[in-house]
Amino acid sequence: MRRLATLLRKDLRIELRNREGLTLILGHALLLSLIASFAVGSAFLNPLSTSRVFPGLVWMIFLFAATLCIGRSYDHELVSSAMDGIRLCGVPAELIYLSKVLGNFCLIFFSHVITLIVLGVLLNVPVGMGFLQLLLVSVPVIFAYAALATLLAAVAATSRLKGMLLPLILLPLVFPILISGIELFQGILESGALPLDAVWIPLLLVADVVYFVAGINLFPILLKD
Amino acid sequence: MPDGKVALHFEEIAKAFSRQKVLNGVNLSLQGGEIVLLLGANGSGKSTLLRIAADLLRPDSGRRKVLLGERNATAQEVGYLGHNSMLYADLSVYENLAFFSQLSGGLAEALIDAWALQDIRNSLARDLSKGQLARLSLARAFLPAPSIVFLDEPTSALDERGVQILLREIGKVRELGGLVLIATHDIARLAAYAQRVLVLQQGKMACEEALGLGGSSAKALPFYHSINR
Repeated sequence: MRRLATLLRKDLRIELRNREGLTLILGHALLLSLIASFAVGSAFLNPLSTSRVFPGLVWMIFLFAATLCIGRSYDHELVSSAMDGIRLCGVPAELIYLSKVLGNFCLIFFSHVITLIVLGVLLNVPVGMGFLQLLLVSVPVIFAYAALATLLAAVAATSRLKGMLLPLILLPLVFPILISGIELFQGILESGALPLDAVWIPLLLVADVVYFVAGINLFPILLKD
Repeated sequence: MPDGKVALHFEEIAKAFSRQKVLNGVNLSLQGGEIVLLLGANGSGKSTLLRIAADLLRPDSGRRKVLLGERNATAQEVGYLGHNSMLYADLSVYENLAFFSQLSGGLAEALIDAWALQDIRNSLARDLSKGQLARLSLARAFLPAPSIVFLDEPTSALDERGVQILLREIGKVRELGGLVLIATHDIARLAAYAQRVLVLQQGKMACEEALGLGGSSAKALPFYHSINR
């Protein structure tokens, strides 16, 4: 736990010093929210239809902004091989992966909360009482995304295509969790409560476990090759 | 101090990148208490051999053993300096050393004193000169107190004071029974302090010799000069 805290503290210190990740993800999320609100506004949708397109827009914005941000999550480690320095301290690769997943999760979740609020206001969607439930559903979606994207970003970072490769290998694999997120958001906005009997919740939990277990087992192999 | 005899063994180590064979069946056996120079022309496989020795790269075939007595050495007992600094550009000199110290169990303050980094302790790594960065990278490589040290061209950016500190620190490792393996072209400055020389040629160990007093060599250094002309 002490080593995990040290790794997280280092990432936080670097982020607070240059604010690259936060600027990138929040900048994209807010700009995309603005564009989405113009697009929806120009279609003159009624409030009910706007509420129905809201979940899809939120998760599309999440996908674009988070993928751009996560693509550079190894930049600081690889530019001068600092990751090798960490490995030479005897830190298990699994712990490095866990620290990256948690760091990425926090950054993406923060940006997602801001997007929910801003897009809700811009589209005049009455999120109101359902806001906490939307956040609750977002946790497993974003965790599954972070677990998968952190692993694939490591693959992309060492390829010749760098960040360009990440969306190509990531997007097909995140469809199930994004569809779950959209469907659960629809359910919450329509009924005002979390649809506990929906098939999407167990699907999300399975995705969380599968992606995280795959990541923690494959990351050490990637690191050594 | 190592809690047993330090030894490095390579058996038929081979490594290729794409279709290019870099190491082609390297056999090597070294014992503690020595500073060993690894020589070879550019592209002969020195850096790859050191990365495999430090367990940062997996060989395609062959066996690598880094032993402390009967057991395998842990990562904290191995020091390594590569071509890259292995530091964070956005952290200061102290923050970098403190970070790696917290992970490995060393003392950042002691390293700052040992490597004469007091004047730049609050400077960001990105703002350091090449020589200052080299000294900081070496300080990190000696965390926490390794018994086996692999250094890849450690003197290439160092000033005379930096070289003196390096010689003092590798001397300490050797005196305590540790092993120091240095890939270098800087024979003039290092040969007098080394006990053994290895010469790599086209991915194979071409020559090995124990050096005489003051770094005198009858076989290995003349051979290296002949292939590097």
